[in-house]
Order: sequence, then structure tokens, then C-alpha cells
Amino acid sequence: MVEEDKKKGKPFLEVLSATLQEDYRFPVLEVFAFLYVLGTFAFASFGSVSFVSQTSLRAYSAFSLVNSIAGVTSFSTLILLVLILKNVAYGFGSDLERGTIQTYFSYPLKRRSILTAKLLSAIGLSLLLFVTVQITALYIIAPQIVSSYLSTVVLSYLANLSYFLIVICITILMTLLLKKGAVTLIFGIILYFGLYISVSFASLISYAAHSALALQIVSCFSPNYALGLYLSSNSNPIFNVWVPSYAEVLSFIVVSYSIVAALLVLSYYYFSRRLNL
Amino acid sequence: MKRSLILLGRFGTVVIFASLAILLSSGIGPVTINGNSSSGTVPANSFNILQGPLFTTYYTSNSLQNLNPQNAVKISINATAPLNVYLIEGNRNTLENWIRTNHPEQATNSSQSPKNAILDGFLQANPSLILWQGKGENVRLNYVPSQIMNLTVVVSNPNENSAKIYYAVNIEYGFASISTMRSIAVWSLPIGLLCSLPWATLKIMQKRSRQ
Repeated sequence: MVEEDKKKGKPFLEVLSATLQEDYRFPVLEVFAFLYVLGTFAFASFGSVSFVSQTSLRAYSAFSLVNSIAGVTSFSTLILLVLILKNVAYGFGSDLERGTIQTYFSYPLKRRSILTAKLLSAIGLSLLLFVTVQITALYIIAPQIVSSYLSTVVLSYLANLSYFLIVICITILMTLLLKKGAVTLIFGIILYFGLYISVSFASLISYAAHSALALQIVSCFSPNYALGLYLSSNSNPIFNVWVPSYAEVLSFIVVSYSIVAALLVLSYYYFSRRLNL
Repeated sequence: MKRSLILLGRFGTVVIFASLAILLSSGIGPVTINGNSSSGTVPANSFNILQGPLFTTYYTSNSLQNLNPQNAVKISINATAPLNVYLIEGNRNTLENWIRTNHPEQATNSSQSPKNAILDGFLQANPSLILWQGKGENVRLNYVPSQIMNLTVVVSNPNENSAKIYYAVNIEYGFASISTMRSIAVWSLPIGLLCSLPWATLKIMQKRSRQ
């Protein structure tokens, strides 16, 4: 059994190293690392905290700091989006389009292992670099705030990245369905901003109608909204439509990651069982 | 080429590029975003806060409110006699409320600067709020808050004669502490070079042999 696992491990590493080399030719990773660092320092900000009650001011400032560098429209997140879409939609999509993915099928590996290697390379490494650079930069910018409010910082990252991952997972699924690199690249970009605009519209409707429902639906995709409302516990009655509890915030984060997991399971199922090349 | 060598080499090059970005960011110096200078008189054996006397609702300065670790507070005070200067955490209300509670007679007599004994009582009751203190005719302070906080600068005159003061308060904005950024870049750059050297050498040799 152990021997078999060892035998399996080597081809997996072969595929992983091949995909890594394909996704991150020198100096792709280096340029993106440079941009992450520069973007993080240049755009990190505590934002406006004047409307937040004094009791939650410090926790909100930690959230605000993370939001400024890892929020949906922040510079670093857009750079990450470009890198991952390049790998997932363009790279993987082109492999499927040209049929070069079949070279990986010659390895004694199950299809799901090949997809795992592809995703580890395309998403795993990019996210690892992104988070490592940002956490280090946050420690340089505000060490005391980060260490005092570590749970807020971690929750903010989880809440911010879930929206991002939902979009990426939908793009992976579309890449597998369409098998076209350039088309899914454009689809991914449109989906990212389109979903963001609809999320903003839904929250506006919620404030206008004084109904929490739209905000709750929005929070399933972007739990960042719920976390922001929980931390600010807004004193302004216009924004006081809904103040979620801590348990609610956690449940919205769980729901959003469940969506990510469901999309990934669908992708694995389609790649393993249904994909015809 | 061995996988571990490639991994180490690419890690090194990533560290080099990240260090260069940190070095570049540290080169963008702090910018003054808020500042004012003024003058005033501190009566004998009394104290006052900078930027408006105590118990005045009409004068509330926002420049020292909600400061964060990206801000640096630069204070310079020139006086005609040696003064005690305290940097206190919290806005003026912290001090005013304490005086209202413990010395109610002072709060009703807002036209007169409170006596130093009141300040001493406040400082003894709240030693954790004192962030910095100094003494002299010329006081210079460069303070970077470690948290989101409000600050109040209190000047007390221990002399028997009133003292005239000229002060300037400037708030600067910077990405992060320049010295920390530079020291991290200076340490990580050689590490990156060391890690990437074997990979880079092998890569160059491979290229030459191919040619």
C-alpha cells in the first residue's frame, strides 16, 4: 500500500512541476510578487472610521485595513484575478482547446489528480503568494493592530476571498464546459465585475426598501458585507437595516465556502466523468 | 536540473523582487496631510492643551483624532520658559470629563486655565494614558501611534511667571515605518540572492552549453 502511494506520488509531482513551469515561467511569479508588495503598501489604508462607534473602532479599522488591500476592487486583488484567470481560463482552457491536456492523461494518474495538480498550481500558489505578501506587509504597517485583532484579520480575509473563489470556481466550470481559453478569460472578467455590480445594486435596494433580505442574499456570495455591518454596528439609521450577529457572520462565511466547495465538486465530477476530448 | 534547486532558486528570485518593491515603497517619503501652527500663553502654575483651551465646545480640532499607524505626529514647541509637555491618549473630553467629575468648580470657571495640581491628579489617576512626556523651552516630538487613537497634547507651566509658546503640529502620512521597511529589504535581498545564485548559475551554464 505504501509502495503504491509512493508510486502514485511521483507522477503527481511530475504533473504538478510541469504545470507550475507552464503557469509561472520566469519572471511571471516574480513580477506578480513585485506588484503585490507595491500594491499592498501603496493602497493599504485604514479608511474613514468616523462613522463607527468608538467601541468597535479598532476592530473595524483592522477590517478596513484588510479590505483596502484584499477587497473585491483593490489593486492587489485585481492583480491576483489577472494571474489566476491567466492560469485557469487562458492556460487550462487553451490546454483543453488544443488537446494538450491529453499528455497528462498518459501519466498513471486519475483525472481528478490531474485537475488537483492543475488547481494547486494555478490557484494554490498564487493565493499562497498573495496571502504571504499581504500578511507580512500588514505586520510591517500595523503590527499591534494585526496581533491584537488577528481573528478579525483572518475573518476579513476569509470573507473577502470567498467572493473571489466563487467567481474563479464558476470560471473553472465554464472552462471545462466551453473548452475555450480566450472566451472563458473574458467570461471570468465580466462575471467578476458583473457580480460585484449586482451585489452593490442588491445592497442599495436593501437600504432603499429597508429590507434585510437582499443584504442577506448578498452576504451568501460576499460575506464581507455582513462582517462590515457587524463590526461597524452602524449608528446611522440609513445603514441600520440589518446588524448581523457574530454567529450569523460565521454562518454566511460557511455558506459562501460551501458554494465554493459545491462548484469544485461539480468541476471534479465533470472533469473525471463527463469531459470528452 | 533538480526540482529542489529550481524551487529554491525561484523562491530566491521572488524574494529579490519583493525586496526591491519594499525598497521602492520605502523611497516614497511621508507627506504632510494636516498641520497648523499657533501661539498662546500658559499662565503661571497652570496648564492648557494645544489647539484650543479646555471646556470650549466651539473649538474642536480634528487633526489629532482617529490617528493610525500610518500617521506620524510631529510637534514642535518653543517657549519663553521651560515647560512640561505631555502627550496623552484620548481626546480632550477624557481630560475634561475627569476634571468635571473630580473638580466641578473648575469646569464652571472655564475662562481660567486649570492649576497644575489638577493635571497632576489626572496623570496620577491615569498613568497608562501618558504616551510621552518631556520638559524644556524647545520641545520636539515625532510620535507614531501603534493603534487607532486620539491624542491630546498638554502643556503645563511650572514657573511663577506666565510663558509664551509658539507651537506647530503636523500630521504626516506614510505607507509604513521607513526604517522597518528598509531593514527588511536590506536583510531579505541577500537571502534572495543567496537562494537564487545556484539556480541562476546552472541556468546560465545550460544556456551556454546549448549555444
